[in-house]
Amino acid sequence: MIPIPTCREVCDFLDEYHAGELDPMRTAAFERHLSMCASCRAYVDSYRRLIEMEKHAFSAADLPDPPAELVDAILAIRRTPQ
Amino acid sequence: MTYPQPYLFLWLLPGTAGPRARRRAPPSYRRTRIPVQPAPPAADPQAELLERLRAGDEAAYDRLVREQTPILLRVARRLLHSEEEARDAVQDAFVSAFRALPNFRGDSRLGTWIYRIAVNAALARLRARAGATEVSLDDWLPRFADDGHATEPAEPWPADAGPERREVRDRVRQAIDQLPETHRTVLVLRDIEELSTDEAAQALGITPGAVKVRLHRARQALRTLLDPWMRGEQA
Repeated sequence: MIPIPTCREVCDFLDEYHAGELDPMRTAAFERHLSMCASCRAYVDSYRRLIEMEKHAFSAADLPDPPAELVDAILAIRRTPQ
Repeated sequence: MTYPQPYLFLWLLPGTAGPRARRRAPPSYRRTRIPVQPAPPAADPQAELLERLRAGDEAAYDRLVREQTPILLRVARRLLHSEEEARDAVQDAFVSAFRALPNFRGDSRLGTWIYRIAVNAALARLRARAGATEVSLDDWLPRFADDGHATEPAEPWPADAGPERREVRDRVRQAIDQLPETHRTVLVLRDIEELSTDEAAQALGITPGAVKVRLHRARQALRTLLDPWMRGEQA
């Protein structure tokens, strides 16, 4: 059995845990730590929500209209003989 | 590559039902012998557009530029933080794409191909900037005692933070802007543009391991930057 990780180790491996890249034994040990440590539970939850917030911060709604002058400049370059 | 969101919806177009949909068809359909009409050859919009571009069709170029410019400009703005430089990078990308078009083999979608060129154009501009002194992330990383316990225990964030609220979105963007360039770039490419680790590594010219380390450190720093506001403002 893999020993229960420390808070530091939980933090170090959090990205792999979040990405589902930890093997089952390590995942079980990781979750045993979480079941006993309120601080790490809060940290893991905020880390997961942070990634969600990042995606919302730059949502697809930010897709700008193409600036007419930029489109015209690009098309003008295209028409210019090289 | 999971790619700019518009392309995801191609899977939702009519006629793209996958094997799961076919498995769900009632057995009676399979038993009924209906003469099968040969399907008309499927039109491939990309192949058609590509053919027109290679033939020098101005309308096709116009369509390509109008469709792709918003997507390319968005990623260039996210990476460069300068409207002028973002526009220049998009222009650079199209110039490169126009030159390379005769050699484009169609292994990836046209939009994906141009998107990659634009990311590289923006990153080239980032690298060309005079070497600004990077702030260290160390002060924003969690600290631990010798026995491995956190010296400052984390407290939960309120459940109703509302990530879609404008105020929260603004705060997150401001915090991302505070990250040093090397880490902000990785965070933008991986978490926001949703490039894979390997794709981000290739674009940045670093190892996949370095991408993973920078991404994790960037997220941890971002969490530290947002933590007081999340707990105070939202309480």
